[in-house]
Amino acid sequence: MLRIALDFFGSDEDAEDVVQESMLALWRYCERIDPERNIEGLAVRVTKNCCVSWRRRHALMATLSDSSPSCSVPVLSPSPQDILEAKDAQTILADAIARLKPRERELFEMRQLEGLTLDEITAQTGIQKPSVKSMISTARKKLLTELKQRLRQ
Amino acid sequence: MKTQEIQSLVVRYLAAESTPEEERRLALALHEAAKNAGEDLPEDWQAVRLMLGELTLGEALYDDIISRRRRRPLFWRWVAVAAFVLTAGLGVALYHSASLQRPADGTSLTHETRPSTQSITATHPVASAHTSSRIVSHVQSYRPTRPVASSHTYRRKRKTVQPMIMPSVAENPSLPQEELAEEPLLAAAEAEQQTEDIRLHPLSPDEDSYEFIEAEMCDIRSRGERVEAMVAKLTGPVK
Repeated sequence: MLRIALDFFGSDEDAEDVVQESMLALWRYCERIDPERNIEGLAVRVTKNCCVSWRRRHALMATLSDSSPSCSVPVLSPSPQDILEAKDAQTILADAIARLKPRERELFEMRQLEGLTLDEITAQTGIQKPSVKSMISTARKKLLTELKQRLRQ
Repeated sequence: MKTQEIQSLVVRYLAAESTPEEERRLALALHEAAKNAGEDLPEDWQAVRLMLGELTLGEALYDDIISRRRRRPLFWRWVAVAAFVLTAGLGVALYHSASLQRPADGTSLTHETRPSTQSITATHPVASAHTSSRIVSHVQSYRPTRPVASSHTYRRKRKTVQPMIMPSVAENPSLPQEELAEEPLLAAAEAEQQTEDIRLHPLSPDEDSYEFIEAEMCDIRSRGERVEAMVAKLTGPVK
């Protein structure tokens, strides 16, 4: 995790801060999953995501403190409206995932959050690969229908 | 990414046939499409974008940033290599042109160096082999029409004595009369002596040079004998 952050920032200070933040996010997530599960892939994804979020935040702060147009990274900085919309979307998604069957929800999270491949899910759960694929596909289609209805409202 | 590609990836994603790499690409493409289209993004795409979530998008952005950073030094490395090759080529070309213009012995380009230059065209003929052989034979039988300086034709100009215009006593009354009278005579005598001392020597040894050397040797010998005789007269006979 530290190596990923160091590759991105190049300085120990920022990298360590981001790793600390990533560890907190993982801790919160691990409270609600099986402790036996391998979360290496999730740790990598969370660290990468935290790196990008950290940069976004710093870019936003730089934009607010320095209103000059020569700001180096304005592309990644979202507006407050974007942040509110993202939070709203996350709530909608969490509600939709909560309505899935437990097995479908577990497989969907393994694939979507932890970033595991179908083979890795098969190895961890012991379910046949076609069944895993079918259940994940069903979960995604259910979520698509649910989200489309929520987006229309 | 084109719309058709995005749509095909969406279909593969919903059928759970997409790989994690394809899902990252899809997340990035949908992010770009949402930025450009805004509210006009199709519902399916908006829903898939939500399902992919921030984690996939963050990972895709991270990979994109890192790959762009790694491509940049590679680009500059290629630019440096290209500049080096260009400079080296230019240097070689300039060196070749300079060496062709500069003669080997420090004199101007003569007819003697031309056959070697033309023999390159004989070894790599542009026209047929018969033509090139004719060129070679022509080059070998070539005789310079312009005379080339050589040791036999070398002549040194004999120094001529210019008549000196001396001021008369009336023009310069401050000078003593004796000096004015002696100076032109002395100068003329010295100039004549220098002119007599100058002998023309050919650059390569031939009959004239051998005769000259022998005469010089005889002269040196006679001088030596005279000096020895004078020394013997002053100091007594040599033991």
